[in-house]
Amino acid sequence: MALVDLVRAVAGRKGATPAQVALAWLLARKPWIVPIPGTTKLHRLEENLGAVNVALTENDLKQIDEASSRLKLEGARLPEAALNMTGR
Amino acid sequence: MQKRKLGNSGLEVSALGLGCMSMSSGYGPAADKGEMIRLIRTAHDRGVTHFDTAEAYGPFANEELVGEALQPIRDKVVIATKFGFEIDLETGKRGAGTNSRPEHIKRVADASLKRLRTGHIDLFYQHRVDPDVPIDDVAGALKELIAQGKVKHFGLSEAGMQTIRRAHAVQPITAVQSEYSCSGVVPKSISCRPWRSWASGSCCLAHSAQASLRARLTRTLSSIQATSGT
Repeated sequence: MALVDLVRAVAGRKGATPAQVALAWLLARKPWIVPIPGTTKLHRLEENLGAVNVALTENDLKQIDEASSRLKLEGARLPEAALNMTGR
Repeated sequence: MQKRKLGNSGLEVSALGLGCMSMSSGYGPAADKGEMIRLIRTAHDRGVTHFDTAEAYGPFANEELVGEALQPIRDKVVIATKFGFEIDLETGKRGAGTNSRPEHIKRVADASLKRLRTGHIDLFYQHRVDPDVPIDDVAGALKELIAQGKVKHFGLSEAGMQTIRRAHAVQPITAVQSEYSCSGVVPKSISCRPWRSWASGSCCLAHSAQASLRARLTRTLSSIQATSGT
C-alpha cells in the first residue's frame, strides 16, 4: 500500500514511528484539532506524546495528502445503526 | 506541552489529550487500577492537561478511576465526560439505546460529579445523538447545568451537521468529538477532538472537501498500527 509505505518513509526520515506521524499529521491539519489517543501502556503514552515534537514540512503533508487521495475508500465509516444515531 | 484552544470558549488544553476509555473497558480486559492511576498522573507530569472519559465506560468504573487519579491535581486539568446512554443510575446496568431526556441528563451530571470527585465538569458531551429527544431540549438542559456551574462547556460526539447547528443555536458548543464524520463545515467557533486517531482508523473532519482525504489516510494509518503489532 503506497500510503503505508510513504508514512513509514516519512517516519523513518524524522526518526519517528508511524503512529507519531499519524498524530503529527492530525495536529498539523488545523490549530483547533486536539487528538485524544488512548492507551494503557506507558511506552505507548511516551510514543504518543513524542508526536508533538515531530514537525512535518509542507512537503511531507503534501506527499501524504497526494498518496491518500489515490486510495479508494470502501465501506461506511460506521455501522448503519450507529450512523443513524448521528442525526446526520 | 504546547496548548490549544477549544473553540472560542477560552478553554485551553494540551495539544494532545489522553483518552481513558481503554483503561476500564472497550478493548480487552480492564487494566490494573493502581497502574492506570499512575499512568494518568504520569501523563499530567509530561504536560497532558485534558482527560477524556464517559459515564458509559465501565459503566461508571472509568469515571471513578479518572476521578481518583486527578483528585490531587483537579485544578490543573480539564476533565471531559459524556452522558446519553440508557444506563441505570443505581446499578450501572446498560439498557437499550440512548437516553438524553433533560431530567436524565441532570441526574447523570450529578452522579458523574460524584464519581469524578469534583464540583464541575469542564466539558460535558452528549455521547450519541438521541433520536427520541430533540437536540434543542438537550442543549437547553446543558444551558441550565452551565448556569448552575456544574458544567463549564457543552460538547457533542458523533453528531451530524444539522444536529450541531441546532444545538449551537441554543447553547454554544465548545467541541465536537468524532471519528471523521462532520460531513459539512463545522462552525468556526467549535473545536474538533478526534478520538482513536489511529487505533481504530479514524479522526475528526471539519471540512467536507477534506473528508474523503482524511478518511482515507486515517483508515490506512489504522492498518499501519495493526501491522506494527499494537
